[in-house]
Amino acid sequence: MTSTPNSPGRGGDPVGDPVENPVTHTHDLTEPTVAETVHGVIDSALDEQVPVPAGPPVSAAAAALTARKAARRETFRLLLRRPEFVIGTLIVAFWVACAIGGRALAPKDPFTGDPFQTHASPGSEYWLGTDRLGRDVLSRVISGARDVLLVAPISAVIGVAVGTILGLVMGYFRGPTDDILSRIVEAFLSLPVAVVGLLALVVLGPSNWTVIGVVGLLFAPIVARTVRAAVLSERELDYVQAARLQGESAPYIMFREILPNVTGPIIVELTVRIGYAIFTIATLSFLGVGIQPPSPDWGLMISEEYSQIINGYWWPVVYPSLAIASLVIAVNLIADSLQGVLSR
Amino acid sequence: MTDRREYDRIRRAASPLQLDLIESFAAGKLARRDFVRMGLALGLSSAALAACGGANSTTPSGGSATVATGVGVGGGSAANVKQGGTMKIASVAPSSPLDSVKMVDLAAYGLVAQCYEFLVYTGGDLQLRPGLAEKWEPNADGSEWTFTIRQGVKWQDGTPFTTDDVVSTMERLVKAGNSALKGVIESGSVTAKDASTVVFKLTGPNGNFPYLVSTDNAQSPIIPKALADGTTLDKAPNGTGPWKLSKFDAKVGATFVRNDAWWGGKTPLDSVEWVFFQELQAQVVALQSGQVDAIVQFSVTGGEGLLNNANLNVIALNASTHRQVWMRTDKGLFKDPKVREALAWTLDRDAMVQTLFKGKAEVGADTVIAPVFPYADASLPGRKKDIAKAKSLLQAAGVNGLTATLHAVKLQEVPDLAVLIKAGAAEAGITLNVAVEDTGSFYGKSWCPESPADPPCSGAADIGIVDYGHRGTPDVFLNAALSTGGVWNSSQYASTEFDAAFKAFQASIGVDAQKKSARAISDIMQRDTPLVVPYFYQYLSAHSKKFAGMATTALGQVDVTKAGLVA
Repeated sequence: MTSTPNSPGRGGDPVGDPVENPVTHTHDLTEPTVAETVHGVIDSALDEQVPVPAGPPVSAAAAALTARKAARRETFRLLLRRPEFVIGTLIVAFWVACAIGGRALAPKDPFTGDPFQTHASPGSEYWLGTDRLGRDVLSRVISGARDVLLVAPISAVIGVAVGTILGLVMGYFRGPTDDILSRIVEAFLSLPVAVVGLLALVVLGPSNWTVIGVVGLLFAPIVARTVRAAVLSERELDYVQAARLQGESAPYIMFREILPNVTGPIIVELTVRIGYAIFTIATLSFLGVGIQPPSPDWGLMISEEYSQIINGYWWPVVYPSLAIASLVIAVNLIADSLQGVLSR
Repeated sequence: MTDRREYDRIRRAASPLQLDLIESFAAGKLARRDFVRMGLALGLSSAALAACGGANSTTPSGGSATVATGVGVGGGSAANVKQGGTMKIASVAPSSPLDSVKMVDLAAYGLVAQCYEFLVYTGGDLQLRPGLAEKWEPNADGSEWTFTIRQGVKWQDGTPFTTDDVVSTMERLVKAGNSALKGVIESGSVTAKDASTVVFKLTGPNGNFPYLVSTDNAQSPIIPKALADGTTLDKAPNGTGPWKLSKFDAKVGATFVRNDAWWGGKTPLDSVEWVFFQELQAQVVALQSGQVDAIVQFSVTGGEGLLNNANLNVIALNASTHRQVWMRTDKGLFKDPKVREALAWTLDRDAMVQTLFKGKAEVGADTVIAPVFPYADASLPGRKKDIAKAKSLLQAAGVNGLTATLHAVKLQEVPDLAVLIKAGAAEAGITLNVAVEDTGSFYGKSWCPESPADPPCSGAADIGIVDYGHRGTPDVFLNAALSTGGVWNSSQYASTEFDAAFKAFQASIGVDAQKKSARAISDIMQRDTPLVVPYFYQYLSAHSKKFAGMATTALGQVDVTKAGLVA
């Protein structure tokens, strides 16, 4: 902060370029580590009660970081006090265990059926009955967790990542950039996700990766709007102004200054999106363009068997439906708790 | 053969082809059922067949008298029905306009067949019955067929039906590239000799020709000469048939009322209502709840509940309906015939028939000569699952760890078939990733893409499963799917040996020759395995026991001319 235009490392023009504002000199070779040192000290101290220094912007950022760590711990404590969070987590943990355990946990081979045991009703041999190809429904529901728990979170993460970048850009730059991007985002938002997903998958051809990509990209505009709103209020705060005055580049301010301060809404958005992704993927599989047979995907199982309900074969449909419902509800319970705690 | 003199008289009057048939039967080379079927195709009259000892077989299973009237498609019974009433029939909505020359779906076939009539009718038992043609006869080598046209038939608008209508319909079919007649007749091949005779000069001998102008070739009903090309039945409802189309909405349904001037007599029913549904399960529910009285077609997948319903009569017809698993023979992973044959040995066909059809199908052996055809050779070796053989074939081909995408159309049991094929193939080390596609993108992208257009289907995927509807003869399967440059040849199979065998089959006349040439085709198909044909399944239709006398073909051409409420 204190370097002069004539500091030794700089040689040449003693007057200095008028365009080159003093903040640039933070990174001057002669005094290279002021900012880093301050960060380092406070980080290692991990002092929860560090007051936000009113002084230079560097300390403000550092303090904010510390405060966040404290807040995180507090948040977790508050979350554990909420029964809905605990229940939601337990259900999700159960399905994660099924996803990891997969075929090891399943009592029978989920892919091989007995031609003479098609649509066997639930009983001691097949706890949840068999499907039209004589495959064990319980084993399929258990191993079906893997696909959905892989595909849904990845697509939600893609959606949130792309949406966050878009939201940051829109909120930070405002003006024409925001106007143009906002209109595009709004145009996307007006399209029904399932219909666009259906079209895209028909054109691109169905595979797990296309599902992930398509669902992720379809969620991005929704996330972008939320993030933009958060960024808009954040960008007017002093620390952003200070960073700007300091001459930080726009990407730096967006990703290093603003982003850490909008993680709350982003985390909530991520959990909500996982819930929606489960639903959207199940819908697309149900419509027959998502995950391909013989995958024990829940949406696909329902789609393949729902026409059989009228023949009295309810079990291949009801159990995967319950699985989807339980997972979506559990994820939403977590999302609700997170939102309650983070927006406190 | 009770009356020797009568028998001799028939023999003397018979054409060489007919004589050959009669002698084959007399020598015990032919089952009575097949003799009747072939005799009818060759134009022998029912009386002549009866005199030769084939009488009993002409009576369809339902004990009907439909043969005499010439309109029944088999199975219908005229006995014990009341006059009057309406029958409601559930069907899927037609996916193509009711342009008889160009329609492609079962629902349209069924609707059109109520108003327009065919020269010849093929019953559920594959026996031919006279329709607008009273009789037909081949020349010595079967390359020229003479049809005698029924006299006194009127169009519903009152104008007389003439041989000109027949000639103009055939011209339209040739122009439209009809899949059954392509290469069999050309423009100008069909001429009216006089007011009651039409002569078909074929491009080559064809012993099965009458099937190609029967209900089997669903696009071939006779339409008025005056009709402008492309006019749909609902725009100009004017057939020769038993029913007049009085109301039609492509999404809702169709209403037919009795045509009092019909040449075949008075139908017991006053009217027939077709109700359209999008999905099978809605039709099943409607039939179970009594909202409709019959269903045009259902599959075991989804319609299982109808099979054991005490209030319903299920009509099950053995048919040549099948699925083809095509494999590209010209390029890609399946170019080596050993690899194709290896895949064929991985299928557990008996399990497929049980799982997918609850037994209502016959196992196929990778030939399109279905067991239902009279010239199918029962001694053709089957293809029971043999993983060791598949593995050794793969080894011989030097293939290790093959991975391909198996394209399957989203239709009835086809996705499930794909899953079962995948499971079997995996045991031999072939990894198939199933891609289920809706009909639009499957036919347009995976099966026979429009481009590149030459040769047809050269843009097809390496491997896929496509559905083939029922035909009374295998000519369309052989011509379109397997001949070099065939319009549906998605495996791009090009074999001069096969093409010659197909020609020989078409030209073969007489039982021994037909059986022998059909067997030659099957042998070539098994050796080259351009297709895997896992099964031929039964066509299923059902109606409420409140009604009797309904009959149908395996192409959805429902015949309710004899149907009525049970008295």
